[in-house]
Amino acid sequence: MAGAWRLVEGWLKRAVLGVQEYTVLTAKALRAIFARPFYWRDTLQQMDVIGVGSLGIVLLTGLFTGMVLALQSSIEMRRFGATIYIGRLVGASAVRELGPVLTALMVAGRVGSGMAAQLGSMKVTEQIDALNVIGTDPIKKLVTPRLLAALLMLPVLTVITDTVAIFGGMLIAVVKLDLTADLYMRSVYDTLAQSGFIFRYVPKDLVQGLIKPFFFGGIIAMTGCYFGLQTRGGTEGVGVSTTRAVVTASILILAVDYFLTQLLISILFQ
Amino acid sequence: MDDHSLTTHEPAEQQAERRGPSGLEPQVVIEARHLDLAFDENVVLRDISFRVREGEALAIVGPSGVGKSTILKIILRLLVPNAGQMLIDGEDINLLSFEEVLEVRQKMGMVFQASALFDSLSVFENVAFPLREHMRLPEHKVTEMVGDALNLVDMSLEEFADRLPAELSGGQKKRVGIARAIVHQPKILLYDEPTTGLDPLTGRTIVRLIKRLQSELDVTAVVVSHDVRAVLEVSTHIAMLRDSRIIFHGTPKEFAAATDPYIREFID
Repeated sequence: MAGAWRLVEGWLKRAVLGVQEYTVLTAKALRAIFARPFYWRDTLQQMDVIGVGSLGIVLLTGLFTGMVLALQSSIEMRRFGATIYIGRLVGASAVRELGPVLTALMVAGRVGSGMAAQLGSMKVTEQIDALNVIGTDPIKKLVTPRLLAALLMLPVLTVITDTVAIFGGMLIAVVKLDLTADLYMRSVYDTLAQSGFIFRYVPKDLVQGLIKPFFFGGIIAMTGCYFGLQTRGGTEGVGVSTTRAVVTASILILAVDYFLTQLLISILFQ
Repeated sequence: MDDHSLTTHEPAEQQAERRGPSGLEPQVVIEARHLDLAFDENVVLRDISFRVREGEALAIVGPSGVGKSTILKIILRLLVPNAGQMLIDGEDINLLSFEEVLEVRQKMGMVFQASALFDSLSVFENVAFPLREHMRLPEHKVTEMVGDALNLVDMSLEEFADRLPAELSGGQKKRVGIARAIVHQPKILLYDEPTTGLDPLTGRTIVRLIKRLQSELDVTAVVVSHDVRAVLEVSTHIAMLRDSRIIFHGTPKEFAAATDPYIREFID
């Protein structure tokens, strides 16, 4: 019994320490955004890796998600003769939830794992120590550019996913359900307009869908960097860090999505 | 053997030689005072004290896992001891802020055991890294200084500038690592196992290179190694670690002539 308690105690201590280190790393990386020196070249390079590099998977994710949403919902809607509302369903689902979450999960798998692997390899081959020795802050040089790039690129990628998902839904609506593209798009617009506008022209649904990826970008970058910098024990350690980074980022994205949705509903729609 | 102060072990004529024509002792650049370090219950260093004066090369020797590289990490404040002081130019590095430590580190150059070259950067970018990070120099000056540093390690800018670390042999990586460590003309050079992992011939070449740099650049050096032949050649002083403590501190000549059975076994 005492042995079991010690195990639990040890696990709890490590978990609390982990959360503390993760928070401190995030705070330092955020603070470094506003302090010299600025690594603009590294940030642009990371924006290219995260943004341009993820374009392919994001386009495919958006297209097939929109198509499958339209296809699945058409079965039920046809029964009630409500296929003209397919645009509403695809538009609302894509912009509010599926666009931000699926984009984040795909980028976490692709980019988060890459960050953990790259920083992990740098750690085990003493390259992080080399940066320190040269007098360069590794957080400023490696973590902050990745964080900043992810914060900026995730909303952009989400807008692309949303757009392509709506387009995918339209393909199914036009080809399989005999709706006109115009009718479908009006239906999409109606659902976005229904939620109301901020600054007269920006749909509240879109605002909600753009705030979330900002947080998800932060989670992906910080989780990837955190596990990368925590890497111990050679190449095997790099593999462990990579897996942990993807799993933790995915869980955090889903959990934060729920709480963020709750918060945004209470702010935007009440 | 108990007193680890460098000065107490030196014969009078050596001390006079070290003082130079002015008769003044060279300044102490690195000084460890009663360092203790333990990870949980595992004691790594116990009461470690030594001094390294300007222009000297202290070799820290001992078997693997005895804490030699840990001392380098304390000099760089990559690790903080549980007790004791590490003075760099008379300033306790453990009392400095993170930003101040980054500045102090710019006085140092470190040659890593596995070279630790940035694998996404070319040879040129690796060597230019310290210059681009901390000195606002025009690009032609950077190129000139990188060329000079590569020349010092017998490599040519034309041949190697664009190569990636993955395209270099072990010995070439070590040379580039040394070039990166010396390019910003540091006052202190730290070597972590400079000959480990190299074939004997390349190892000898690296030892000769270190020796040459020592005389040409006139830097203060700390060399961590278990390669006895190498340290006898490059160092002006040797400290030997055993069971977390310094058990010998003296000149290479004294080390080679030591009668302590453990040291003899280590040398042989």
